[in-house]
Amino acid sequence: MKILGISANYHDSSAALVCDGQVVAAAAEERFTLMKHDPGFPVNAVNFCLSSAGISADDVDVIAYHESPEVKFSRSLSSAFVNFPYSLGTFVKTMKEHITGGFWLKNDISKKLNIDPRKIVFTPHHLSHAAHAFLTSQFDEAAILTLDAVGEWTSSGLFYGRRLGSDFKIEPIGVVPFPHSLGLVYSAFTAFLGFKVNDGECSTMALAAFGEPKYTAEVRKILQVQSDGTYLVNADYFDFSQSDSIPLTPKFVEMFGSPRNFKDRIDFDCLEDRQNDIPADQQRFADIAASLQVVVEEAVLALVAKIKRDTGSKNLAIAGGVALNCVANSKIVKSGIFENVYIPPDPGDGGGAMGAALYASLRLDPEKCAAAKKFSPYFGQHEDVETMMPMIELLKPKAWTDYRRKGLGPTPNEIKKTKFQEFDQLAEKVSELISQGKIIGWLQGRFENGPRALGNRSILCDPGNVAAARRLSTTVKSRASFRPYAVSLLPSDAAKAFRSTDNHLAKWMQTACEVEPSYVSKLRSTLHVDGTSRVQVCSEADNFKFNRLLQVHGQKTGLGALLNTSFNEKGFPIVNSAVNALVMFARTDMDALVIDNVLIEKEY
Amino acid sequence: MIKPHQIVIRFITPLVWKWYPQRKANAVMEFGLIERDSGMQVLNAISVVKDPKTQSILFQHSLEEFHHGDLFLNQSDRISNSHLIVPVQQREQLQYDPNDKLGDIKFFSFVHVGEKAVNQDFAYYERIQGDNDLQEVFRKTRSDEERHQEYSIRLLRKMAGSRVFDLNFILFKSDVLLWYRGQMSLARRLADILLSVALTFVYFLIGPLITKSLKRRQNLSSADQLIILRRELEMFQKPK
Repeated sequence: MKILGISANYHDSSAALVCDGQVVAAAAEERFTLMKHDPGFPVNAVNFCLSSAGISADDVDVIAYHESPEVKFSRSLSSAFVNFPYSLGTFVKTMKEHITGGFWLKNDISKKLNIDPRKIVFTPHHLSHAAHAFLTSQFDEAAILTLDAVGEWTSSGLFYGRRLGSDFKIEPIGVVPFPHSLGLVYSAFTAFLGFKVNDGECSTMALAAFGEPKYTAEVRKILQVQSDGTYLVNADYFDFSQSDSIPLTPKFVEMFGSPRNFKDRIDFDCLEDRQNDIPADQQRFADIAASLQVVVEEAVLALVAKIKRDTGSKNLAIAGGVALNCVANSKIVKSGIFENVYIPPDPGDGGGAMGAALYASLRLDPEKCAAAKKFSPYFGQHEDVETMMPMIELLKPKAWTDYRRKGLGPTPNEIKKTKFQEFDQLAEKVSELISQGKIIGWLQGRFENGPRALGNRSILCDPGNVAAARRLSTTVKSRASFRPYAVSLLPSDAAKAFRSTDNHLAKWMQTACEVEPSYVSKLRSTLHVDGTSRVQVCSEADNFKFNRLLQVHGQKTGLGALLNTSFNEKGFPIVNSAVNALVMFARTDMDALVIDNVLIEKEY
Repeated sequence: MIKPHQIVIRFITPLVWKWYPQRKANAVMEFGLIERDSGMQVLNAISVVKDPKTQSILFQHSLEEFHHGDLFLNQSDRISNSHLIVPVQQREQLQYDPNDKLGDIKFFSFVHVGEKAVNQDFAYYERIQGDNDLQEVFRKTRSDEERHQEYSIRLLRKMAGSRVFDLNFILFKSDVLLWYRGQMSLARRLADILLSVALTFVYFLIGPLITKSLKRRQNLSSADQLIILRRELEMFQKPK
């Protein structure tokens, strides 16, 4: 049975194709449209999924959409009227969205894909997340926790999943209803701190490391953990009905002071050992972020303890946007409440498409779905570099001069291309360049699902070279100085350099691990000020080529570790194709670019 | 000849921008997104166009469009007083259809006609006084768009060879398509205004009647919510 999953109309639209219970392709629409978090209908992602399986829309048996539009509408309508008669703007906006899309979703999908509307099913939003978490894990049975902003009427869901012979199911065992939402609280604080909602939450988390949790008592007044393990959100501090502005009431501002203007600079620097001359207001924002992080962790841990009590399972699978908070994830692992913890590589709404398709597969094709177990994050597109080589020969770098990012070094005179027959020779050369402080774009095979670069669409440099990391931040990524980089390591080196890397979350950069003091200088440019780093432990089975590169670099330098950040510019999604990577190579001061077995270097 | 929407740009937009800077910021952001979208369309065409020379021209073209996108988006950030909400794009398909035998000609004719239209509109925006930085961005973008117009028509003539009539017909068709899209966009905006007015009436008409029951729905306990979720799962049907 061929099931196409679709997630759309909020943020991070995506598509996924599941054939006989097995995921065969998945991609976010943003990778094709180059519009970060693209919320539009994922027509390009759908086309990619179908073409990669060599089928047409006619061959698809079922289309599974990641939420129930009618139920979502009832919640939107109810929210719009809560503050009657002061919520006219929200009502008009919500109704327009439904009148022009939601109400006719079935017909709309049917028309866009030219398929029979009777093939379309709707999977509740949290079920999509739960199925994504459980069915991509290796667990035969598990407690499943979905931590989200909101999906239909639910903000967090507690589920139990089993796949033992004919006993194959995912059942809901508890919910935290909207408007009590961890995700919405985190997003509201993100807006207060001057970052973009549904994009800047990682900045809030990064800023937290610079602060002291001085405001935890105040945050606890807002986010109240209950004795049964669930939580309540005090509605006096938020106004989620005003969807176009920061959803904070005057009471919130009275408690925490004025919000940060998004244009104000932040002087914290994670590459500096001491933070000097930080203005008091900036420190206040960091302290608020730190307090929020502490209270959110308390709420998450309380829910984790609750689901342990309710299920007795030793395994936990988590999904939903809040599961991208790697600091909170590390606390779950550390708590030891569950023996095994799993989070899929794209736990947010982008993974909803895969989740919806997998849930439909569980319900409609259970035998095959139960048999399918192999899962990797690499289900995206791959384009052969060979087709681009003649064009690359003709590129004239001097013509790029006026069209590169601001504040870069000189434009290269030439680009030099070298094709390697043996992968190890390429790895040797790349390791040599990295050791010289060069910044390398690395594009191999199919792209990863989700927001983390796991060695197929990565930018790499020396993890001990602080100057290179600074150059990476200013001339390639245009990245704020308070946001740290991640590190990829061989399993053997990870065990020596970091604590608590022996868990599944460390495979896909979903947890922050503490560095061993003796490795600080060797990994300095990937460490946050609290001495942690977001870690990817890459084995041969996870990603053969990337693991081989780490091995070669380890043999050369004594440590199989690389600074690994996503291959994208500020404001753009991670690159998809070779030509997209070339554009970023041209627009920034990236020193070299590897596409498959070809090394492209700038010459001055 | 000046077109109706250009009259709006010439006489009404300056007033709107002066009174509502946030609308100006939104408009400038949309220009940035349109430029980025052009960059993306051109970039995608590289994978389908066969000739390496043409591919390299397209590569440079896409770099320029992305740069224009940066310029406009930087300006919208400067003008705006809050993070701008990116609208859902109306574009649904890539402009280049690889299965079309006339793919190259159609694509470049669309590039040519599109650049020409943008250049003409930007000429009117450039005349809006009071913001030198933004005027400079329009000026710089227009000068590049003119070059794009020239190279695309040169390429089109080369591709068409002696089939001048076919070329003119395709250019005419692209022009009509662009005009049609412009009309549709205008119609959507008008419909949007009418819908807003109608919904305002509905809001005040039904609000007093249903607010109480909807508020009750918001305050359902988690146990009730769980029952509803379970019922939804029971209703999950096999597609017919």
